[in-house]
Amino acid sequence: MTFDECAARCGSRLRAGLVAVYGPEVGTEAAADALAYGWENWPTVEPMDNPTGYLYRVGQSAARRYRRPQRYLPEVAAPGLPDFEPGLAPALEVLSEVQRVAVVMVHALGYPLTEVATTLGVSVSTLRTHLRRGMDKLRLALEVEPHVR
Amino acid sequence: MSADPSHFPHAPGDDWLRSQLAAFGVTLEAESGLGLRSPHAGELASVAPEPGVPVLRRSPDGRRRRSVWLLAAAVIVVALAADGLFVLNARDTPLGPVGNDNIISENPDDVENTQPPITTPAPVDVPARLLATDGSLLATVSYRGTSLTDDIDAEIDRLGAPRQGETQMNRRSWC
Repeated sequence: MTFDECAARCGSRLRAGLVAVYGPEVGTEAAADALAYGWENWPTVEPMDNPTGYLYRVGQSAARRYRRPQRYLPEVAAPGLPDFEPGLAPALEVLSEVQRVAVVMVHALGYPLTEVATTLGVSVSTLRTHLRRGMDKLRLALEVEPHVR
Repeated sequence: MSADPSHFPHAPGDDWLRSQLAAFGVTLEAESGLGLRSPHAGELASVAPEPGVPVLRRSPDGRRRRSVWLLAAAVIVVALAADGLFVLNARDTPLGPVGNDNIISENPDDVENTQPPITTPAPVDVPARLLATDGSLLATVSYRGTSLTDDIDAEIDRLGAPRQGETQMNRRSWC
């Protein structure tokens, strides 16, 4: 697999995961740094079992070099786009990193569980656990009444 | 997978939550340039011709943030340096709190008013014995705030001893 193929296949997923964790500004920068690292060290990265997961870790390390704003997720909708609950972004920021990535990538951005699990380097069942716990916290924070079956 | 309701019991209210998350995802996508809209893919391809070539990629935002950090560090260093100078200055000129009698004015004209006056000890009579070269006592003189030499000369005159300026031989012969 060439770097171009890897970037085309996992680039947006990598960026989505880092944006979910660090917000649009820092997440985009970290993803770009991770892809640049992958380009530069592709002979080393390419033989790995999970290059995407490795580059995600590289992006996490790169994000530490950037100053993270106190509020990093958008709290209001962009002009012309559908509105959403103002308390959603603060509630998401309270979640743990992996819970936030799971919730945002699966429910907000619509990525399949398998791709998200590959990006995070965890099993699908582990991802389901993080996703369930993250959604439980969101329900609690936003006072969403659970369905009684 | 997630479609199995046994794994995800979607309760009423979850529909609303999912719709909010979906709307949030649209804004997040738009603000971060996810997918093919990302400007960085073209940027990477333009600066690195082949895989394995080192890439030096710094965005203007990154440079600006780094400059802000450097500026903040410089301000902190200057503040610490100024604080250190202040401490040194305070150690050299101990200033008491306002209203304290120990305050020393920086005006040199006020020094006499604030510092305790320098007093000369009261004059006392200092006895001195005038001895001959063989150790015998010729006379006892005392002086009070004047030169001891003058008192000795006066006593020598009174005794008829050789005056100053006479040869040492004469003085020794007198003694």
